[in-house]
Amino acid sequence: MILKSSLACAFALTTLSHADQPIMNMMPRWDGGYGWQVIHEYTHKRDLLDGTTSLGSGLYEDIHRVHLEGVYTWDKSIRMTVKLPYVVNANRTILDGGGNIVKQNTSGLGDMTVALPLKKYFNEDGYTGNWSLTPQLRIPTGEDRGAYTLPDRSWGTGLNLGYETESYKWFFAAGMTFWEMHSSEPFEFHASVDIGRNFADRGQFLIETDFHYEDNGTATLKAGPALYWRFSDTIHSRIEWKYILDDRQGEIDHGNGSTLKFGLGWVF
Amino acid sequence: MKLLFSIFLFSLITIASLSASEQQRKAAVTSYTKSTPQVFGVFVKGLICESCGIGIKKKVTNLPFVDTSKLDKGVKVDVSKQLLLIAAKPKTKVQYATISQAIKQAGYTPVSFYVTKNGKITSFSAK
Repeated sequence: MILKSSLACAFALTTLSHADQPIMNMMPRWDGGYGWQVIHEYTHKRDLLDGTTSLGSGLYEDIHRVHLEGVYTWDKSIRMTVKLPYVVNANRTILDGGGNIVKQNTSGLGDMTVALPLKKYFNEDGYTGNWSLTPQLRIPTGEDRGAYTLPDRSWGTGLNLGYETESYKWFFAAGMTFWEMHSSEPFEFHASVDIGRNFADRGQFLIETDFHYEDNGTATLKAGPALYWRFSDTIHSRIEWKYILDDRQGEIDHGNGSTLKFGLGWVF
Repeated sequence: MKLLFSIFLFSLITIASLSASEQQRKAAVTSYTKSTPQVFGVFVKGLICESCGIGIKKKVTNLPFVDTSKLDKGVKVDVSKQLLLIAAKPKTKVQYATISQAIKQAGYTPVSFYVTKNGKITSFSAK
């Protein structure tokens, strides 16, 4: 067990990165369409890492977040989305300066993200898709309460570049996002590649991979399955699970673990 | 570079996806008109999933010449053939240009209409 003085002060703040746009990263494509979705996210991180080194057993973090998200489409080429996370409950165990395990708890509002997805659609015989450019703004609405703070509470500007294509049976998407935080928070880069198979005219099964990098040396690679199901033209659902395959923390922070998300969306 | 290659490879896969032929679409429209005579069809490029059709259905079902008592509020999608089926009200003039515009507003590309005339399916451009 590595003992460091003022260990509790050396933690990097957990950065929320969630590249998908409402609704279900799909809809609405039509003029005047709008909707909202609620996503429950459960994250378990089983180690406290310094780089790739675990600082001891029993040092974990569990986070339950709810994401409230909305969208309005003026025209298929331009829409606006708003995403607001809320930490329902987060618990973590860390080491204090004396090497003792300390349990901490927090909850509260996260930082809001406003985005303007700009899309260039293409429709061909047998498939459709789009190229997208999404400028984003992170607004520091996050609360600082409890024993530790999860949101960055920092202004940030981001840009996402994306590509999607879908046929009757198959789906493919790739994207990358850059975030510049206007504070001492590190620059972030995210990349994703998703492959899916459509079935039953209502469902889509996907394998998704996400890579996350910060310029403080943090790098995380995760992958896992996702399932989308259309209950009706109005109600849509999605469940996904991602496992962290490789994790390196540039500053001491929790890592190695998995995330489960379940969402319900309504579109009009 | 690997990412670009992956995009290219998968795009090839999607391009290679089998799509229905003109004959298959006409046969499908003929089949639907047997049970619902006022039905006509539209070949819509990119209409490859039921979720894709949500916006199209919303735009088309509200048109005044659509008979919402037939099909599913007057419309039905057959995504295996990229076909939109519309039930017209009897003795009502169908405004095909308005349908094309509604499909474009939903984000898709109308290509051809399939209409029954004198017991035969004829097609004409939707552009």
